Order: sequence, then C-alpha cells, then structure tokens
Amino acid sequence: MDAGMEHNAIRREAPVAGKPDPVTTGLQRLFAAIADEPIPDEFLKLLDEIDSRGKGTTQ
Amino acid sequence: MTDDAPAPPPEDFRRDLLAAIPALRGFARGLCGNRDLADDLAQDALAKAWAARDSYMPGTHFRAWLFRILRNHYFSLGRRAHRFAPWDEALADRVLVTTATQGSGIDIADVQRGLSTLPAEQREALLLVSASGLSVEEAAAVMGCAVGTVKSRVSRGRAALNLYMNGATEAPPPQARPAA
Repeated sequence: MDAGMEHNAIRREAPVAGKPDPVTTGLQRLFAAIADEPIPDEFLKLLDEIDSRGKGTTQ
Repeated sequence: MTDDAPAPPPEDFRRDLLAAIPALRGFARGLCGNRDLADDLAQDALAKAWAARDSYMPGTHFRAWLFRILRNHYFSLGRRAHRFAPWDEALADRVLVTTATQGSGIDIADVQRGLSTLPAEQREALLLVSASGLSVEEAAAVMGCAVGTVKSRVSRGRAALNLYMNGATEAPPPQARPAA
C-alpha cells in the first residue's frame, strides 16, 4: 500500500452506477480537501517515535 | 485472510501508517468537525494502532482497521466528544476556495455544515461509505453493526444532508457562526 493508492481510494466514487449524487460528490471533495492538506509535523514526529520503537523491538 | 499470518515488519507498518494519515485525518475531521480535535484523534489512533499492530492481519483492509480504532476511541471519549465541534472556519475558507476553482456548483462548506446536523451514527456511515469509499460490508465491520444498519444510516444521512444542502441558502453565513 502506498500513499498514491490511499489517495486514489479517497477519491473513489461510491455509487456503482450512474452519476454520483451531490451529497456523495460533496463528501468526497470535502474528504479530498482535507487529504490534500500537508501532514502536520506532529504526525511525522509521532511516526519517527514509532520508527525508533520499531527498530528497538526488531534488534 | 489467514489467522496465523505474521505481523508486518515495523518498517512496513510505519509506511502504511504514513500512507493512511490523510484518510485518517479526513475521517476524524468529518466525525468531529474540528481540526485540532480531529488531529488529536488521528494521532491517538496511530499510537493505538502501533500498540495493537500484532492484531492486524496482513492482507486485510488496513485503512478500515485504522478507522475502527479511531471511531472506537472517538466514541469512548463520551458524550462531550460526540457533540459536533464548532464550525471549522479555517477549513471553510479552504474548501470554499476549492469549490470555486473546481466550479462544481457544490458548496463543500455546506456539506460540512450539514454533517454537523446529523446524528453521529449517520455521519460516520456517510463518511465511511460515501466519502472514503468503503463497501457497506467494510463499514459494518468498522462500525460493529449489521450491513443493513449501515445501509439504513447511509440512506437516512444522505437524505437529510441532501435536504440540508438544498435548503442551505437559509443557513447563516460562516462568518456569523462562533469561531472554533
């Protein structure tokens, strides 16, 4: 799984057939707008901590 | 799906967590409506996911697994957290610009305002199925309820949101709402 796949999944149209309804389109665009924001540093710091812990558990 | 599949190596798990952050933030923001609270929820979910990484079965839907952790945490925080947070002015500004540039004719700010009027269960179902693209089966697993219940919540939530969006011109403008 990579970031691109995740991002595409967010934008996937939910209805199986026909044109997406305005609610679905609006929800997907709301979600996409949030997903397009830069990831805050706090998240990256948290992942760095996780990474450090992970290295500690595998060695 | 195998019950005895080994847990993913930590570096793979970290990579998957990183890739899932945008979706996790989106789900959290839609659920609670407040940027800061949502990011706290998402970070807590990441930490909890790391702590529970041995329980994740490789090959299963990773994002759905994370969503379940986040929503369980959100609902465990109690009634105070269930209440939709004050209108997120910063996001409103951003999505309004996004809407204008895309020329979609859909005011995404109205969507978020409308979400705030829905019961948490309907909001959650719409976010999982309509916004993030999970199947109703996957959403049912996340929410811990029957597929039929998810369908019903999505249907009711969509109808209510559609009704809100069609009548949204009567809603006060964002700047008249209390700041977050």
